[in-house]
Amino acid sequence: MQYNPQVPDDAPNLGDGRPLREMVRLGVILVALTVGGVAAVAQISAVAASWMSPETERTLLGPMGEAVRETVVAGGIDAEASEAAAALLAPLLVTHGDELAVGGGGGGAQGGDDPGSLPLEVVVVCSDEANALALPGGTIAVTSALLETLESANALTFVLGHELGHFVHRDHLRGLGRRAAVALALEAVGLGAAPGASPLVGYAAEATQRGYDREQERDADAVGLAALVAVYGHTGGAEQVMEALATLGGDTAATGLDLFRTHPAGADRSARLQAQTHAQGWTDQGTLVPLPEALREACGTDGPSGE
Amino acid sequence: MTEVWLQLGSFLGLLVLGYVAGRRSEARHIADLRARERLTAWLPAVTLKKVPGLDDAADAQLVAGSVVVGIDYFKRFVAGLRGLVGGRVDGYAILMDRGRREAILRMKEAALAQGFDAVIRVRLETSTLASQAGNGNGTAGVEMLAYGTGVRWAAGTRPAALGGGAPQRLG
Repeated sequence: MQYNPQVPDDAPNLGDGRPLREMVRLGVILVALTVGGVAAVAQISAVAASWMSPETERTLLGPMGEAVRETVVAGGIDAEASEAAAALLAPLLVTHGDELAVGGGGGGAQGGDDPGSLPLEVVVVCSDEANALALPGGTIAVTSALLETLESANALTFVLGHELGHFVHRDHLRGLGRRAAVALALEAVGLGAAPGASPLVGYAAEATQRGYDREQERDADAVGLAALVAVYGHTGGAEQVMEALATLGGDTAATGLDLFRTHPAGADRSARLQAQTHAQGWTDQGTLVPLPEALREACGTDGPSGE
Repeated sequence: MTEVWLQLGSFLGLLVLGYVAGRRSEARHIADLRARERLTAWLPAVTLKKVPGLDDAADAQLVAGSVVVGIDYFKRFVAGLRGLVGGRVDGYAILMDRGRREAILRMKEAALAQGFDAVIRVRLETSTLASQAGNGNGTAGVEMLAYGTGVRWAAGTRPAALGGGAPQRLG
């Protein structure tokens, strides 16, 4: 045996020397998988949303809805005003009961053998932000600041009808599925920044407050307008909500509003409402019913000094 | 939203830093390793238990060389991606190879400093240093330890099988 001094050949152990390419390739694969996964979950949740019976929704999302509701109503609830608002919502539940019962929005999706309708509840939340929200689990939240800007019961009916529209179209569930999928994907890659204690509840709350896309808002507007006609016989009052929206739009855009945020510009929505009014042969002329006192003075604030 | 951008920004910053610094130090280290391997190639460092002429040796002692290898952010990230889909983790393989070679070189340099003619029964050990990150489950680095028995013969009696006579240096 003879020792021959040699320099070791290191080539086999140094890889291909292109770590950046490896990262890009892996990144592309994973991004594609993630995007595909999120899209699939969003799609599935949208379909599931239109098929989900109110009973199932209560069972599955009840606790989450409760948690979201708690964060929204943190500012306190005006019970008297809530009752008055519930009285305004009651006739809408009659006129739209069927749509709510079958899970609305979908192409003839039946809620199985459970014809039960989602028990909708209205709460008037004491808050400085003018806002109205449709929360998972069946709560419509209207803030006292929003009530201050409304000049008639008709206007509030339109707002309630609009939120009802989100329930009819199951928008509160669709948004939830999409956001949950994105949230889970972000968590998975370690970029999760969930607000609140529990990531899912935090995202659900954020998703609800962030509102829906323009298409969903227009559809909800249409339901709101139809509800207005069903109750009062004319669409008067809706225009005033749009006007309030236009004045509030600027400074409330950053605060996370449902009714006022992702919305098509006020003028655009106004035009759509007028077009719908004409197409249906409705009229926007009619007597406006004043807001009940409990609502005008919700949370101890002074209502509009109209009278 | 600002939080998300801050997070994303610091992530990308660390990634770029890890890549640039990692590549630079890797290239320099490999060049350094090659040069030192040429310089010390004449000194046999073998895993054999026995070499010819061992019984005539004048002295034998433990020699060791160790190095702790750190992992840069970029390598850690790519390895993390790799961990999701599986496959060869080239970044770590290169790092471990560098560590192993560095440890052997330090062992040989220690042997040379003590005037040994050969290192026999060379062994390699690896151990992981825990870090504070992840509740002590993170990795601060990996220690590579190379050790063996340095052997010296009396002047002029170095076995012919090991090159005999005086050491001959390469390059």
